Amino acid sequence: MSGTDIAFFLLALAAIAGAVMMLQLTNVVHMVLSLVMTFLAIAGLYVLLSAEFVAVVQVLIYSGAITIIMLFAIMLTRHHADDKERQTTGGVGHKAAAAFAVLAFGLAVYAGIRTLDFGADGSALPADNAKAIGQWLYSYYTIPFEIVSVLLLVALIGAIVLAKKDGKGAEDE
Amino acid sequence: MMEQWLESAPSWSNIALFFGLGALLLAVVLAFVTYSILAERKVMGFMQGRIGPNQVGGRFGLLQTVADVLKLLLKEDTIPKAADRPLYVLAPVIAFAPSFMVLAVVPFTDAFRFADLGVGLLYYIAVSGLTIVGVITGGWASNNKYALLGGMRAAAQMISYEIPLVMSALGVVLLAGSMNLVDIVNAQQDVWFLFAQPLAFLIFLIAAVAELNRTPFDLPEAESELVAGFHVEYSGFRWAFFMLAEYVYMFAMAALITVLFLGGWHPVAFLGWIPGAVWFALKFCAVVFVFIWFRATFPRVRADQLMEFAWKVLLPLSLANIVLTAVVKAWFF
Amino acid sequence: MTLSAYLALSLILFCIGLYGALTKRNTVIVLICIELMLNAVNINFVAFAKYGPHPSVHGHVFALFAIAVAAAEAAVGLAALIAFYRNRKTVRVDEANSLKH
Repeated sequence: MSGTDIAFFLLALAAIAGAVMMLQLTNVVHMVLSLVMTFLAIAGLYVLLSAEFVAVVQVLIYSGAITIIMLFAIMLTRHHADDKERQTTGGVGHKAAAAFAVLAFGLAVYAGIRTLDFGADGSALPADNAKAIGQWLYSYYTIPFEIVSVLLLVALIGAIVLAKKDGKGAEDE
Repeated sequence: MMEQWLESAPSWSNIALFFGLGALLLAVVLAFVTYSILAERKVMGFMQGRIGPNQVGGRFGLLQTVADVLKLLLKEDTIPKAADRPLYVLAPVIAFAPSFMVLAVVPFTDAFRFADLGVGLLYYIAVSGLTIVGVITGGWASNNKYALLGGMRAAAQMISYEIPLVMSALGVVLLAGSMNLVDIVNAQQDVWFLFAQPLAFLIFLIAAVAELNRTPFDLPEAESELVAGFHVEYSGFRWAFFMLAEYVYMFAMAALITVLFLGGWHPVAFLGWIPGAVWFALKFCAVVFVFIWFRATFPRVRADQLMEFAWKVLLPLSLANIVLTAVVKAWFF
Repeated sequence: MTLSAYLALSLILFCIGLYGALTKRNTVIVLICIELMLNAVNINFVAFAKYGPHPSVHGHVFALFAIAVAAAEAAVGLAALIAFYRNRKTVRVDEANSLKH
């Protein structure tokens, strides 16, 4: 067992543990923070996959920005502590049906990927992948890149408009 | 020397070596924290016509901080009854751990550096963002309205000022052609980026002070309105952890400014016979002095001014700086 | 490490996210579960970039696009949540059942 294998198993364990804790905990803030562990473990996996640029972006966007706005949204809305038992929808039947469907999906996909191997050892990746990503992004992927920037602008404006108080409602208050 | 170690095959002796080096760096950082607190009190004292600490440890109060830390460790460790216990305990650790992790990519001299990461600058920004999670967690877990307000303010402020911080550093990245901090230092062999990127330096310095939650941007712990901000319920060594994180970030940020704008370990003009470590330390101390100077001379800004300043002044300026730098680089290089 | 190990991990995370998105009733948690599913997909992109039939950084570029879109989705989703909370005083996703308040 090499060091990479050990690192993979530890990170995979951390990622799955965070996700399972997210399902099991009842407090919303605890759930978000347990998912931070998953996001960080996934960033570690990206480093193992020699994608350090994506790993850093993962930490920056997920653990930094998205988690913080999730926490802000939680603190700006009210989450009753007394309806812990009502955190999930439906009853046991609904849960069982969802679990069955998810399990069936998982097993079907697992049968497909179990022995998947293309024989690549990963040595073909350029070492300086930030530079390679930049060059692809500004040549081959220029149009998608611009569209993503427009999408982010639209999301920014849309979020402000949605979260702003309605003109009529603000006058009433 | 370090490079050979970093590239050698992993073994137990290597692990021991890196552990030892990490412990050495921790010792250096803790010594810095001890004496920067003393320096802060002394410098502020002199600026305000006082003497500052002068009792413990001789005429200059050299052991004052040590005594303070010992007192802190002896204090009762209180956890409020209504606090969220696991998160209350965890929050100082979440806040402190990233502050030490960011030091891994900062190159102190040619030989003394740890990780030679291709995306070093982004790594610094990304990992330092994790502290915000610790701060907001601490504020929420204390179950105290002042702590929560302080935590929310801190998160909003640090997220907002991260953007001009990155945007202004992009000018440096454009000129150096790399995000690797070693390459950035090497690109300043002839001209420091302080002179090539004066606007970026100003924006970066202001955003850095805001990121550090220091005066004039110390709203998260504004004592006159929020008691003490997000750590109001903390005491003893847990409180010390928050303080430690703050000062380790001051160390890291001063080192980063030295690396990005002041030429790192490169000497001034003809004084090349002085070793690089001394130059780094000198520039570093100058930056720390500026931080302390700011604290002694500026009043605190208001919360609305704080946000407007980040989004309406610093962000457009840093965007303009990027465009300007790109144009200059495309035409003249 | 083989490709299938990464794919299996990503499958597990995707299934957990899917289960959470189907059963949780708190809107924030449903959004978070969707983020988890997107993360699982990103692991696939990056794993194929290294161990796939044609190793290159295209997988990384796609993962970056996915992260950008996920960030936009989270921002708009949370803004919609706050607008919804203002009208209905609740964050339960199953009570969002009328078009006008």
